Order: sequence, then structure tokens, then C-alpha cells
Amino acid sequence: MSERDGKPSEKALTEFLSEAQEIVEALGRDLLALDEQRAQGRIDPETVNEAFRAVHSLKGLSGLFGVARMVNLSHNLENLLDGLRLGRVHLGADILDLLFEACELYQKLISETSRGRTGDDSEVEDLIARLDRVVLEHHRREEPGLGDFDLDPGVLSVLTEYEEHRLRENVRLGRALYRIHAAFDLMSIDRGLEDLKKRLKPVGEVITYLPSAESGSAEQIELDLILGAAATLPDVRAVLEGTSAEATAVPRLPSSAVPASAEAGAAPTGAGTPTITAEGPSRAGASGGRAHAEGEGAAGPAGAAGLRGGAEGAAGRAAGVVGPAGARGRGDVAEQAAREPVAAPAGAGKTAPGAAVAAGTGKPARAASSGAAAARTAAPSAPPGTAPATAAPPATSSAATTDAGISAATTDAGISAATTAAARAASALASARASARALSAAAAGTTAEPAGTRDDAESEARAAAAAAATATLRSVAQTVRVDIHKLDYLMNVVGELALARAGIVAVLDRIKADRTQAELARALHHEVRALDRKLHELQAGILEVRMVPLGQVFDKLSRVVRKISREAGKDIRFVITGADTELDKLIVEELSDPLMHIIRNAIDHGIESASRRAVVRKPATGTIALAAYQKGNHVVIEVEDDGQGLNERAILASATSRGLIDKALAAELGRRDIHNLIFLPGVSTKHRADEISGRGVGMDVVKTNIAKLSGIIDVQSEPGHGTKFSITLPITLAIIQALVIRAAARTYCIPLNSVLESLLIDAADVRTIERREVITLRGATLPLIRLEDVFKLPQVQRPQGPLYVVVVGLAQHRLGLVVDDLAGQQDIVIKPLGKLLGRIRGIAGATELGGQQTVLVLDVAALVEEALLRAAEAA
Amino acid sequence: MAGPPLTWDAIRTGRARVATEASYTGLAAARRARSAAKAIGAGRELLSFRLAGEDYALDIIRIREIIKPAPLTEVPRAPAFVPGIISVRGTIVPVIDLRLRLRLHAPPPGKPARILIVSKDDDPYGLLVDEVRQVERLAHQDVEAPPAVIGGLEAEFIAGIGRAENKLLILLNLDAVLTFEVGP
Repeated sequence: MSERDGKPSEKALTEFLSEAQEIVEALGRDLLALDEQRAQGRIDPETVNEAFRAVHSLKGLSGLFGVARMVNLSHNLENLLDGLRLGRVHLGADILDLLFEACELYQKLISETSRGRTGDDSEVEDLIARLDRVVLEHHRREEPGLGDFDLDPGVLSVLTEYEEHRLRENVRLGRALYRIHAAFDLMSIDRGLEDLKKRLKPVGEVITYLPSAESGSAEQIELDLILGAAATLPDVRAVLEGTSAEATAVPRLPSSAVPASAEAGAAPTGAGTPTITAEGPSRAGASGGRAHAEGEGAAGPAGAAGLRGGAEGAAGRAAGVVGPAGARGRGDVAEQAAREPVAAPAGAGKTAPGAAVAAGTGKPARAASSGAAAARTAAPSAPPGTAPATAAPPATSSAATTDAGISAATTDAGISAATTAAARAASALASARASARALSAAAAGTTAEPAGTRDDAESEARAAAAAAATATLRSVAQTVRVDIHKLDYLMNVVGELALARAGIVAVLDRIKADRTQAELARALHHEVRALDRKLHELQAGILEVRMVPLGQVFDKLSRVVRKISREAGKDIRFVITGADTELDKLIVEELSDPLMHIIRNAIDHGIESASRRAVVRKPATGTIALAAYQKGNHVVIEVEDDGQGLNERAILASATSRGLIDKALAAELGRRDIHNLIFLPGVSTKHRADEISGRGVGMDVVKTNIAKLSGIIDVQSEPGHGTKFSITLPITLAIIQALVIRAAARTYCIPLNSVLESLLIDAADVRTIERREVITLRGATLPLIRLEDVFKLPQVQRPQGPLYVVVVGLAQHRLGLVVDDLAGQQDIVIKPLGKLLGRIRGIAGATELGGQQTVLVLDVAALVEEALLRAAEAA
Repeated sequence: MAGPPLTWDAIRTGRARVATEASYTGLAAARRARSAAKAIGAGRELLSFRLAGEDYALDIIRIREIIKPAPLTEVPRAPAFVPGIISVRGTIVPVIDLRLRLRLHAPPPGKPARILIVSKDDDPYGLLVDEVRQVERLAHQDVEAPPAVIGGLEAEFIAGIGRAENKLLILLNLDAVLTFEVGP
């Protein structure tokens, strides 16, 4: 793939990267699905195709942007996936490992590209080498026979390699074969066929569809679909209920003579003659039937005989040509593209220049595949009334010439001919296809070029087809990508509106005070309420846009679990629930690291080895459950394993050896307190003896990251039964609920999500332990802090009488904040103090409360941490 | 640091000898040079303001706007020269009392006081000054490097000395003024 001249614009590059990212994520999901299917011994070929298509798109995209490493990786990965599709490569765990590895590498390449780095190629080359080796090693040639199904040999001979593989695979799986005859309106065949396939999907697999031998009207195309299904004929018929399609079972031969193998052998033999010339196929096509069919049949072989690349190209074109009637020929990919629903039927005249321009580059393969893409768009819009007589000649001329430019430019004309021809001379078409196939095989046989070059031409054709498919996808997408900062800005504006509203309310109050203006006041009051409602809707709307499902992170984690568990040699079932739970995009982004650490720890330290599990009579497969659910204004994420639980002795030993707690205190700690020690820096649950260097990430980092998101993390562990981490997070950070308090004659906000409760206590209940104030709350000692002390604010007269205490928490730590007054709750938008003041600990930011009042928002996590530190220093 | 707060007075009163353009070419020549510079648009535009009885100036392109002081919200643990924050149309702006930042001994600003909103690294900051004067146009040759005599802590805050019609302007090094550590 050639490098593009000049640099793509920054915006285009960003678009590319985010699109590539999406495709890689989709690929990851496909691989996970394949892993699952493999475990169940039932691989859905459509999933393999999805993965194949994803890699195609990546290759096309990265080619456009000149990311050579991604192109190379995609190209080789494509070969492997192609092998999987065609049944040449068996999908084993080792292959999946490679695929997953490639997926990770893509992620890396994307992030490197986004940072403008080119990085080194060694990693890519290494993986490519291994991909190639696997493809070679797994080259599996023998295919199961066709059993005793009596399929028309003519049908067999026109199947693509992929279709033939699927056919044999279905037979191997002991499924029955059905023939489904359906008629489609020429104008809506795309949709009709899609509908039919969708209906049939639950009962079986549509292996191929061929133009029916039975004649039809000019407005209709009749197709025979071959379905492989475990279902019975009545079941298949039940699915087709309400359509015009009719199903019949493919009859079985009385004896098990296998016509297929004879047929398969026949084609290469015929094609093996190296003296076949360009006229050969024309004649072959002509012998197939009428003139219209001849034009089409000839188009394929002409290219095949003419140019090496043309062979692929012509096949691709042939595939495009018969798009609506069933894509044919060797161009498997173009065929896939042809099966894609076409969103906007472009006029044939419009697409023709595109094909001509592509042809101008002098690369026959590419030109032809553009032709195929053009054909795909053009075909459905070809008027049914097109006279075959006028359309056929250009198609024939394309057969006569080897000039790619001309042939591509005339392709769309050929299509209209072909479309009509397909309808009118279906049986002739079938034989034309047979000859096309024989010829492309011949071309392959006669060319002395190494296979690699051929592959290049082929892959270029594919990449172009994939790019065309992507372009179509993009035009139907109903989504836009928005920079999250733009949403932040909008949210800020909403905040301003809320302030403006407060101003209006103040005016309203003044008008209300004036009794002569009662009517005006009422009217204004009414308007203010309407404004309130809309403001609220606007706010909720923006918040909703920011929400993304947690599934984004969970998918990534599944891949990690698979990788780590294989590395650790442990068999682990990863159960995900609540992946559709939504959270603010920024929070979701920040969650992947902490969750990954927790899960890694669960696999490395939590789940026992298989032998150990056998001893303690647990199922051999360990389970890690990742669950998310919404709870009021919070989302709770739980990671639970059925492993051995936290090693309390190891934790204590680790904490005491690092001097974090002294031995005397250690003896008094309760279980929960001990579990909490894992959140302290440097504490490890691992015994020194089996410590693996570089492994195990400090849980203190996890805690800090969660605290940054205003979240709280909690751990519960039962020795021998497992460990459960619960993370509670606010749904969004953009707007939070806050408790407005007064302390030391100043007003502050405390995020409500860190407030556990508010108490009103008698001053006499406050006791002092080592000069620090505490109260007893439900049997536990709750340390108190006063903001004027923490912030060294000038002393003011403390109010007499009962004290307000706001109980706040960080992980399991609780702290009582003594305040002068509680001034209610409010939705606030936290604004940063800027780079310099932002470093002040204990302050999360500032917000406006209306009436031009700017107040500070406390960072509870930092305050609690500070209090703990001070307590530790004092002790 | 002990010692005289700022030796600008020394320069002005002639206690410190500083060679100026006029010393060499005479005032008339300097004026001609200035007007020539103005005519061809060379030079820079500065906003001059009063602070502790002296004239200071900042490049006008660094100033986003000028606002009247509003009640500030004090920020605990911030340096003493940051009396608080203010919200300017929804954006939180830390306000720096220039008088305290430059360690000038002078009474707090009175009624004509203004806050200059400036920016550094995309973050806005407010500079509290005694009074805003006017826009000055200076040719490049009218700006000199800070005299070496001015030493000590404050020197880093001075980008140069500007010579306007009949007064001397202290050009502030804004980046230095807005660079400070905030303790934990």
C-alpha cells in the first residue's frame, strides 16, 4: 500500500484514530465471542466474517492514512482470518491467542500514532512472522465430502471457495440441506434478500444463493438459496411463513457416489492447460448461452487472461456485476461488499467516473475493485427496462480489451446488462460462471508469479472494497463524535443560565413585594417555572449525552482476563452483568486502570491453582464476577472472586514490617481493619517466598484513582471463600449534589456523595483522646475535625449549643466534620481553581451558589487522608 | 529579604547612575526616533497602572479585560499574596495582590482599584492594582533591560524599563509574577 502524499489534516487523523479505535474494540468483542463459541464447540461463521471485515476496514483505513505498520499487520492478520473462514486453519486456543495479541498491538499502534510516534517495527514484524507461520502450519487441505446429497454438479462448480467450505462444513456437522426458491422484485432485491436471510438465520445458515434455473418475468429475479440447517423441513417452512419463498429438501442419492469430488477435480484439470488465451473464455461464455450472458461471462475471464492483477479484478467485477443475483466469482470480498445493504443507490453515471479515475492509476486490481464497488452501488438502481442489446456490447468490449481503464469505465454499463441478463438468462449465467471460475483457476495456474504478489493484488482489491463498504456505513450512521470538553463547555453555560435564573427570581421577589404588581408577579412566576423545567431538561439532556455504557471498559477487561488467566495457567470464568449501566464518559475512561488492577490481583492472588482448588473441593474453574448496577445517584461496580480470600497474616506482616502499624496495635485490629490495610502504600498480600517481581499493583494506587473520581472503594473478604471489592461512584462529575455548610463564618460545599450522614450532637458528647476530639457513634469512635483548625482560619466565636457533625467517609475511614450550620443541598458544577491554586490540598474547586456568591468545594478524600496522616504522626 | 523595598526611587532621583538614550543623543533625537517608530507601527503597546505610588506597565496583549474589584472568596492555604478567587462570567479567577507579590510597602488600594485579568498557559489570573492609567505606545528602543543595580528578589519580576513621554514605566515580567509554589 502506498504512502499518501502530504500529511492528513489533524482533524482527519483524529477521526481516523477514533474510527480505528472503534473497529479494534469491535474486533475485540468478536474475538471474545469466538472464544466463547470455541468453548461451546459451535463456531458461528458470521463471527469469523465479522472479524475478517473489521481487519479489512482497518487495513483500508490505515492505508489511507499511511500508517504502514497497521497496514502490514492487517494484511497478515487478514490472511489468517481468511484461512479461518475457509476452514484451512482450525480455530485453536493458540490461534485465538495470536488474534488477541494482534488486537492489543492495534491498540498500541493507535495510541502511538495518536501521539505522533512511529515507534519501532520489531513488535509488528515479530507478530507478523508468527501469524505467517501459523497460516503455513495449519494449511489444511482435506475437506469433508458432500455425503449423499444430490446437488447439481453445475451448482457446485460455481460456488466460491468459501461457500464450498461452508457447504462441506454443514454436511460434516450432519445438517440437512434445503433449497429455497424465492422471487425478488428487481428494485428491492437487496432488502428482500436481507429479510429472507434474517428469517433463516435462526434455523440455519444460508450457504449460497444462485439465480434460479426457472425462468421469471423481467421485473423479477428468482433465486435458489441453499440452506444448511439442523431443523426439519416443516420448521424451515414455518420460518418462511408469509413470504413467497418455498423450501424443499435437497434430495439424497440412493448410493453415496460423490459427484462433487469429481466435479471439483474437473475444473482444475480443464483449467490446467497453460495455452488458454483471451478468446478461450469468450468462447466458453458464448457456449454457455445467449448473447447477454456472454457479455458477462466474458468480462471475468478476459481480465484473468490479460493481466495477473486483472484476474482478481475481473473476478471482483464479475462479483459486482451479479450483485443482486448473488455475488459470484473469485472475489470473495467484493462479494461480501455486494451483499452489504446499499444505503443510497447512486446512479450508474455517477459511479462510473470514480471507476475510471481509479483505473487511471494503472493498477488493474484496484481499478477493477473500484468497478466492483461502483457496480455494487449501481446495480440496484439499474432500470429493469434497460435493453440488453444496447448494454451488452460495452460489456463485451471490456472482455476484448485488457486496458483496465476502459474496462472499469464500462463496468457499470455491463452491470445493467448483467442485471437484466441475470433475470432473463439465469441458466446461461450459471454456466458462464462455471467458465469464469475455471478461467481464473487457469490464470492462477499459468502465472509464474510468486503467490505473494498475487496476494498483494488481491488484498488491494479487498482493501478498496472494504473502504467502499466503510464509506457506505458512515453515511448511514446516525451518530456524531463530540469532544467531551465541548460538553463541559455546554454544561458550564447551563450553569450560567441557572445563575441568570436566580437573578430573575430575585427580581420576581421584589415585584412580589409590591402589592400593586400582583398580576405581573404571577405572570413572571409562571414564566420562571417554565424556565425551570426547560433548564432542568437541558441539564439532563447534556448529562445523558455524556453517559456511556460501562460495557466499553468491561469488554477491554474481558480480554485482559483471558490473557492473564492463560499466563497464570488458571481456568477462569469471567461473568459480566450490568454492562449497559451508564456512567459519565470521563469516569468510565478513568475506571479501566483501577478495575484492571483489582482483576489482575484476583487472578494472580485470589483464585487458587487448579490443584489447590481440587484439594479444597472447589470447581476447577475459578469465577470472577464483574457486576455493575445503579443505586440512586450512584453506580456500584463489584468485582468478586471465589478464591482464597485476603491473606490476613501476610497483610499484617507486610504492614508491620514496613512500620505502618506497630505489633501491639496489630493484635487489636479487627478483620475489616486488617482488610483495609491493603489500601495503604507498600502493603502486599503476597508472601515473600513466592513474590514475582514486577507483579501486583499497589491497592493504594487503586484507592487514589477511585477517590479522584469522588468514589469510595470497599473490600470484603472471607478466608477460603473469596474477596469482593465494591466501588461506588457518582454517575457524573459534571453536576453533583452538594451539602452547603457554614464553618468559621464562611460557606463551603461538600459533595453529597462523600457525606454519609449529618448529626446534631450535644457539645458534652465530645470527648478528647490525646487532645483529639472524638464522639461515639453507634458504638464506634468517630474522630472529629474542625475546618478552622485544618485550614488555620482566623478564630471566630463558636456558636453555643448543639454541634452539627457531617460524617464523611473515604474507603472504610469515617470522619466527623464539625460545622456551624447546615445551609441545605444544591446541585453544583465544580469549577477548577486553575493550575496553581488547584494544587492546594483539601479544596476540590469552587462553585457559584447564586447571588454572585462563589464558594469553595471541599475535597473530602484529601481531608480524611490528611487527618489519618496526622493521627499516624501523632501516634 | 531585608533592605530597601525597591531601588527605583534611587534611579529616578539620580542616586543611582543609569545611562539613558538621552545621555548620548539628546532628548530631541529620542523623540524623533519615537515618533518615527510610531509612524511605522513598530514598538509595543503597554497598559500602564499605578501601584504603591509608581508606574508599572504590561503588554496590552496579555490583558484580557479590566474589572472592578468584587468581594473575593478567600482560599485557605493559598499564599498571602492571593487574597482569594473571583468568578468572572462563570470562570474562576485567582486574584493576586500585586502589591504583596512585589513586596511593596503601601496601604491597600482604594476606590480607583481595578483587577486586570491576564492569562498564563490558558489559565486566567487577576492582578489587583491601585489604579489603571492609560495605554502607552513605546518604540523598542525606548525599552531597556532592567538596570543591574536593582537586585534582590524583585529583580526577577521586572522585564525592563520603559521610557514614555515624561515618565518611566516598570515593565512587569508577568510569567515570573504568576509563577509560585503552593504548599500542600
